[in-house]
Amino acid sequence: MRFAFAYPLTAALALTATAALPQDLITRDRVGPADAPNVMTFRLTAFDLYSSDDATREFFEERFLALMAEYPDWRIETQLQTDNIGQEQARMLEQVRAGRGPDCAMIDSSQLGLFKSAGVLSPMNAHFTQDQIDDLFPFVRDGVSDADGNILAWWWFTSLQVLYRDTSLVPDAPATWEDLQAAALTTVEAGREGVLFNGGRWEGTAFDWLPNFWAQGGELVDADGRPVFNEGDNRDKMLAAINFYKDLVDSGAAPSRVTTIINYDEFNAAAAAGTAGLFMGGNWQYGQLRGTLSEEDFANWELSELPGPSADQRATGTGGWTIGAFSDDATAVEICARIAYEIYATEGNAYQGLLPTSASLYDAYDAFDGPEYDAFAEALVNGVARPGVAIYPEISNQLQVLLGDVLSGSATPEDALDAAAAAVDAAFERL
Amino acid sequence: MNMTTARPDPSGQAVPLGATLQLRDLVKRYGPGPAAVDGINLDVAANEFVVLVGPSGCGKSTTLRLIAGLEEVTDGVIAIAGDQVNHLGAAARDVAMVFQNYALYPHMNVAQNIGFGLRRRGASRAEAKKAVAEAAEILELTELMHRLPGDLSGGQKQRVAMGRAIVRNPRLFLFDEPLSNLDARLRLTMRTEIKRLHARVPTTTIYVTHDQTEAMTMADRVVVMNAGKIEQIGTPMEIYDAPVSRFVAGFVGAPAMTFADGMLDDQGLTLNTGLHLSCTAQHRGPVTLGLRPEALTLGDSGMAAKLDMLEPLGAETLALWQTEALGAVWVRMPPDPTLRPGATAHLQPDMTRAHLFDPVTGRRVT
Amino acid sequence: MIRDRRVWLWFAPVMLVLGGVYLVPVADVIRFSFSDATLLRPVTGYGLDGYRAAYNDDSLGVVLRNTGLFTLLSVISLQAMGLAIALLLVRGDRRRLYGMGALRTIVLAAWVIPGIANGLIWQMLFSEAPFGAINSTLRLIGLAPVAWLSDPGNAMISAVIANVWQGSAFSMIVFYAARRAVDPVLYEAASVDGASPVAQFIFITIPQMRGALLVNSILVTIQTLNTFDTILALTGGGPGRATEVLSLNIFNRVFYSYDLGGGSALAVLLLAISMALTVIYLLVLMRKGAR
Repeated sequence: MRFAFAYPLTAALALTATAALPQDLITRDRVGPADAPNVMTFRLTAFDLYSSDDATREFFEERFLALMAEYPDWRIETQLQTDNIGQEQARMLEQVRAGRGPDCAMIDSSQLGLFKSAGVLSPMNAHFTQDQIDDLFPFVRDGVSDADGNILAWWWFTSLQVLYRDTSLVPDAPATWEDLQAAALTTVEAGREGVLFNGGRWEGTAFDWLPNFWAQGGELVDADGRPVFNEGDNRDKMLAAINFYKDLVDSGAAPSRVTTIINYDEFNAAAAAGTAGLFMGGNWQYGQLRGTLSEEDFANWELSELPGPSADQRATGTGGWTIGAFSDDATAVEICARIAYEIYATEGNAYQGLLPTSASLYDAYDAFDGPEYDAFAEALVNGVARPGVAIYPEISNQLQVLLGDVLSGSATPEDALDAAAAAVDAAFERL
Repeated sequence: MNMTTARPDPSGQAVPLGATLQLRDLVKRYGPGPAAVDGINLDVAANEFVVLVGPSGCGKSTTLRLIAGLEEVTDGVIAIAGDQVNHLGAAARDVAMVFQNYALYPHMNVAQNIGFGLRRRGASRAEAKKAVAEAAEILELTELMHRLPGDLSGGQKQRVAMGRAIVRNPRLFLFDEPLSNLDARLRLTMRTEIKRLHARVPTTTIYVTHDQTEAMTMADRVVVMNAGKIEQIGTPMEIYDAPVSRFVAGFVGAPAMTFADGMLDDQGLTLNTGLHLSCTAQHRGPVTLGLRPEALTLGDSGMAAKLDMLEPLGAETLALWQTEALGAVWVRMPPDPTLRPGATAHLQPDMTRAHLFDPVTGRRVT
Repeated sequence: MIRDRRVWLWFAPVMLVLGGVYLVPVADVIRFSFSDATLLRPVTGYGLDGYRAAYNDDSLGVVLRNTGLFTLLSVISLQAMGLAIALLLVRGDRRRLYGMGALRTIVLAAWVIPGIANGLIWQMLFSEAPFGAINSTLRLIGLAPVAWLSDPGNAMISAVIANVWQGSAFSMIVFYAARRAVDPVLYEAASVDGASPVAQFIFITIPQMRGALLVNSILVTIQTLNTFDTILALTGGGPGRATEVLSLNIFNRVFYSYDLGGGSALAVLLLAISMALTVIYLLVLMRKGAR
């Protein structure tokens, strides 16, 4: 899994796995001939080229070697980043600023804004066609472009949040908050837990809840990156979204234990135990459910776009990773762009089952033939990325506190929101 | 020590406070192998001062700990004042014990150490204070009441340990080698003090020591133990004059008895070294002869001997002589400034004071 | 006095290690606390803004209250559990009971588990899902399930339980060693003096272990004040801020707000609290019987 909240153990295992490399053109820290005169550095995560899964690793080794065969004078020095994404990315930004950064790197989509506003990314316009750019999902295109229309990075896969439901109890996908509450209460009557979602102290809670704010057109920060979520209309939209969750818990449509959920695996466990009726989770969980549940039970589970305040006000949180270049060398930028598109955004996604960032790619590969991918592609049109600003993690932190306090009955939505806004403003001052 | 203070006794007269003690077939076994205490029987009268003596590992300390209730009896009976106490814990036996290392509570001052047992047995703070003050006075500890044990000398600690025991008027008073950590002079003083204390505060006392001098000087009766068993019970003089076994004879008395093997027949005693001695004993066969230092005298006849070493003690002198017949022997002599090592003389054994033992069983024969 | 100057040669490694490992980082934290450093940019100026921002934070009161409660409950329970297990072990050893080694190993095993893993283990146990380990058991024996983590009050207790489960081994080792060092003859003397087991505990064991109690109080308090990994994995500090302690708050401030200056200012507060508590313990426990 390579999502914004990568599972720590997976990464740790991947890092410690010893790789049996087929030839000396690829080593633990290099791709290409050791004596090549030109060097570029590439910082990546440990899920593909250095995957602990042999087949995955070999697949990417083959692709990297094929690409680098076109650049016999070049070698790539690879640098692995750990699964502590926030820290790794913050450190990388500092290194780039000090001129010690890599030439090319994987950048978490939620952190991309930081790098954009720092002005450290080298445009890749020359290496993509207008068609390729136009084909990107709107939130993706916005995410990777600057004000002048330069492509500063390539968002090579995305993820999104969806609503899972047991169709034996809830045959039709709930489209509105009201529908969801009613459907959840139906499952409670059937002895299930209602709807489950992240409500504890972690990023997933804010991430899964924010679409309810975004669906109303709410904005966390303004164009300058200043927090505005408690100002004007945004405040009402915040309160509406908070009260949506609060009503779910108060009505019994969601159990009070949602405030303890700080892991998507809880939902898989509940589905496996037969106690879940509905839950809001990530797209990647569909594959996990397939692996966890019996074929018979799995057939009951379907996913749909997250419900909104009304059927036509919808949004979903998106994640995923981008690849950007920090190098001034034209060839290095070119290699970086080609790695991003030719290896990762296309064949790599098809191989790993990760969601491409443009609609046409879903048709290009058989791997994306399942009905779930149609639903993903459809929902991604309403995808919203978290604002790539340095204050976002603190906004998320305060939203987690806010939701916990409200859902556990420790604070009213209004008070909790004011407290969160005040804390975010104070933190913003310090940035 | 000032012993003029009246002992705390409401009736004002010497009432026997101590209880009797009976041990019946007492056995203590720690595991497979020989028992630490191997079936001993002992009757102690009220207020009697009995000393258990023997070499280390003979079971004397274990016996004391069994009486105190610090060890569980494997077999047999312990009775205090006629009542069996096997099932009672140490706290319920109403005995007091003075430990070898004093076992003072390091975090309590002298007064608290002495009063601890009283308080634990329900005495009020005021009662305890009064009793502690009295005991402290008897033991001359009044000046030290607020000191911690760490600030006391060995002798002072010893007195505190005794104060802790006497303050409660226990039914039994148990001493476990209480003087072994003191220097020789202090040991002598304390020996006297304990004896006087017992005279002043008569309590049934069981006193364990490995030092036969202590046993002889302090006891009403001495119990000599060896290998978990009692060898002999008797007054100090009985033990000294009529040891029932070679073990007792060798253990008691300083300098030690000299032994020599020989054969007893109608002609008398012939030692294996060839020396012939007249002897009136009835026994016939191989025997071991035992002679205390005072059973040999210098004379013109007897064994040829050469003086090896002198230990002048003032009032008398101990002399180590080398002889053909008996090897090295100690002789108790009046001080004689002319004697020098290397001098030669003849030693005459006084056979009326000789002891004879069976060389196989070690028992006394007559 | 040793006049030979070469003596410094022998001290040098120790001083270098101590200085490098302890003093330099502490000095750095103090320096950062007066700076405007963030995780994203180096220091550009010095001042008191970090302190002002951190100490004016509305959440600080709740966080300090949580810290106090968590530390108080943890320290008392850690010492009590550690002492109880240590005395149990000593008793078992004395009676040559089987399984004492196993018990020691089990308790120690909890200690070597990383805090994060400990938090995850207890999260599974406290899970309020219908299949949660403890609640399922309660239901089996006919008791009502407990809102271990979703109720803000219970969440704190649960965090303490998780912390105590893991940390008791440390106190146990300290107390076990201290209890074994008490001269057994003192207990014999006390029992001859008529002291019941309870009286022996109060009048012999506790005073004799005063040094261990003092040292352990200090160590366990500092350890607990610095605990955040278990809570991070168990509740993340939630629900809301119900279990957010100062160390976790500092972690959040630095890694969510990137506020290195403000976070360091709070770290200095944490350091001050630890040192103040240490001094108080020293005064209280050394006062009596100080020699």
